[in-house]
Amino acid sequence: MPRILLIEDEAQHILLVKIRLEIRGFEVAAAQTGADGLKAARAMKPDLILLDLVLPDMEPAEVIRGLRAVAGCRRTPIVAFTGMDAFELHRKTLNAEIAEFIPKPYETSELLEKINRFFVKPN
Amino acid sequence: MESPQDINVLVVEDNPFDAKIITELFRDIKNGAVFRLSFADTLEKAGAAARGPVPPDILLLDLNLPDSYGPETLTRAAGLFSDLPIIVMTGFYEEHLGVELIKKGAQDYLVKGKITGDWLAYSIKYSVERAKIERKLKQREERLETILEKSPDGMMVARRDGRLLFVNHGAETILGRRREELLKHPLSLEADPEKTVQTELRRLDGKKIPLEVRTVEIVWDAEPSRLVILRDLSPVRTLESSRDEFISMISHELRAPLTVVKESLDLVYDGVVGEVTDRQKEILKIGIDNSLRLNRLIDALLDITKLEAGVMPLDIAKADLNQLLEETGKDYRNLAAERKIRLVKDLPKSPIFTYCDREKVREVIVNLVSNALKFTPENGKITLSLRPWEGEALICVEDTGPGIEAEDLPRLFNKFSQLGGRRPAGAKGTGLGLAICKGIMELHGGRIWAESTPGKGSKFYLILPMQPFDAALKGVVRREIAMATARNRDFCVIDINFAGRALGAHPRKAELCARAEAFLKSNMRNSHAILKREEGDFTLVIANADPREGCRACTYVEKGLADLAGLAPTLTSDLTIMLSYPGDFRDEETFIKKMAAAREKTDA
Repeated sequence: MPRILLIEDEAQHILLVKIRLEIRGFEVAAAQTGADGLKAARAMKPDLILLDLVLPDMEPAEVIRGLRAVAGCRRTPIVAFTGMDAFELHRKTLNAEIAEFIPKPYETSELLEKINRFFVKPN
Repeated sequence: MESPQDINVLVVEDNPFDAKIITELFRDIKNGAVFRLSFADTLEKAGAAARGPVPPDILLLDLNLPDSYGPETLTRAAGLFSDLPIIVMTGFYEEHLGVELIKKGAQDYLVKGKITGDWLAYSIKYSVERAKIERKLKQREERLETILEKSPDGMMVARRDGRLLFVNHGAETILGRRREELLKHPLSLEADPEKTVQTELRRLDGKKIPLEVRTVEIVWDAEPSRLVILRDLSPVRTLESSRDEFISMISHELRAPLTVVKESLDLVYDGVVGEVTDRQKEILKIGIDNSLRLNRLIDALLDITKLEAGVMPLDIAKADLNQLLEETGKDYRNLAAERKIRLVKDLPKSPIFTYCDREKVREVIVNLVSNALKFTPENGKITLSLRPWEGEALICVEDTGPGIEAEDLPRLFNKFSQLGGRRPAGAKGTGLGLAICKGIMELHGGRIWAESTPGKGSKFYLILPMQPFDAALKGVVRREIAMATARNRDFCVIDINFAGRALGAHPRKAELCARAEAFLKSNMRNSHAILKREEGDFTLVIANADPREGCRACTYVEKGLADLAGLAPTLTSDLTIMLSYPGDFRDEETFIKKMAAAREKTDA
């Protein structure tokens, strides 16, 4: 089962994303802070990381650097949820490290498509 | 009764004989009644009399008194009776003494026994008048001084060599140094007598202060000098950066809960958490639609805020306006047919090209057409037209709707100015559409306005300059300079000639150029503007980037494009030219000249 780590500070959004993804056969672990997210990444070695760019304890660039320092997460695709304005993003993130952006609010089809892209083997 | 012409004279004289002479002099004066005499035989008593119920208008002062002797008496008297005119009277005339006394502030110097009564009368009257004028001048000077001193703006007068001649309190505060120190050293401040200069000052205490410096050529003490006016821009800057923060805060804080609302409704609607009836679905759909509407409102609010703050990103390329209108017409063909409205196009035979942000201009036209569709009744007609007009492109969206009252026309493009009563039921907009249209047109150096005949319909006109690449670039750089100056930030412009300098006659040139464009758009999100000059040639405007960051961006672009085309890094090492503000240029004319020169040099 593909494993997804969801780092998102809003518990209610975690609940909704979990329902949505687990029904599609993903295993979802969640963390509500950047620090817990890094811990979880070390423990589970996820296949994909869903990252909300606004976290209570860390700047997104910091979280991403932390994730990249975790053995086994150096190349794990990061898909970012963002309510931020696209233009504001550059100040807060390492753009090149984020594989996909999902602007909030999103359509379910967009969420699934952007995640599935990393699990369907190109042939 | 004391008439206004009455003059109270206090004679300070210890010798009764001299006092008598003076009294007699006054008796000789024609119309001498205007003078009212009083006497004091010491300076101390004179002081008490001056504070008494009838204060004197003038002092006749003998220099040799029991409590004071010689010219010193005048100095002490002047201190005791500030602003009071003093005439010194002595027994003997001493030439050297006269000038000295006048310099010390005496109005006149007279010798007892050598003057007539009338002479004395004139001297007194002139002295009193002169003193009045002096008081007025002093008052005026004090007023100006108060204004200068209390003004929070710094004001200084500097000689040509930079040496300061005058410094006010505001300048002390802004520069963080006392005026005694400031007056000692020549000042080197960036200034231009023609223009207002915005600069940053690093104070001795290490604090950096954004400053606005204005200079005016003046003559100070017969010497050509400069008046330098300093304004501390820190409060303005705080306001501007809090607006930028607001943009990013509003988007996150509003969208996060909105996402939860929409996703909750979606989950139930999709039947993921249990079966849903059609009736339930219908109601859930209302919730979903409204959460989307709320999101459109947030988008519109952000757009208008970005337009007003001058940070709306631009993606500029050569656009075919005929094609743009063709496409928009096609997009709305079905909706118009459904509403039984004829959608007619009136386009010129030869295409009209201009460099603009195609998507944004399209957004404006879409907004106007969808508005027209909302308001035009069945069997109505909407005409979409384009024609060249005095070197510019004139686009018009005309409808046969109810029209707009003349008094409503001026506020049509204001924020939230939806016109009451005019809107058909169910057609709810954001109230920002036309304000955004106006912002977008102004961003392109264009205009938008409306004309209408109530009862017959409305015409919305757009004017877009038909501009070549360099004109569009100049406009973008002008906007960026204004933005950067207001926020005291740097920015960089990077010119990329991928097609010419790197690809040459590469067999897959077209494909690689398209991929380069996609690469830049997805990786250079911090660009305030991406301009496409030709296929494979781009100019990026990177906001808030100092030259070091600009260089890093160049390296990143060069490496990225080399990887993408499978080229050796040496082939792409001179792919970019970077100019940075404010180091390389301070106005758009200089920028264009320098960029052209740099391009020529690199291409050669």
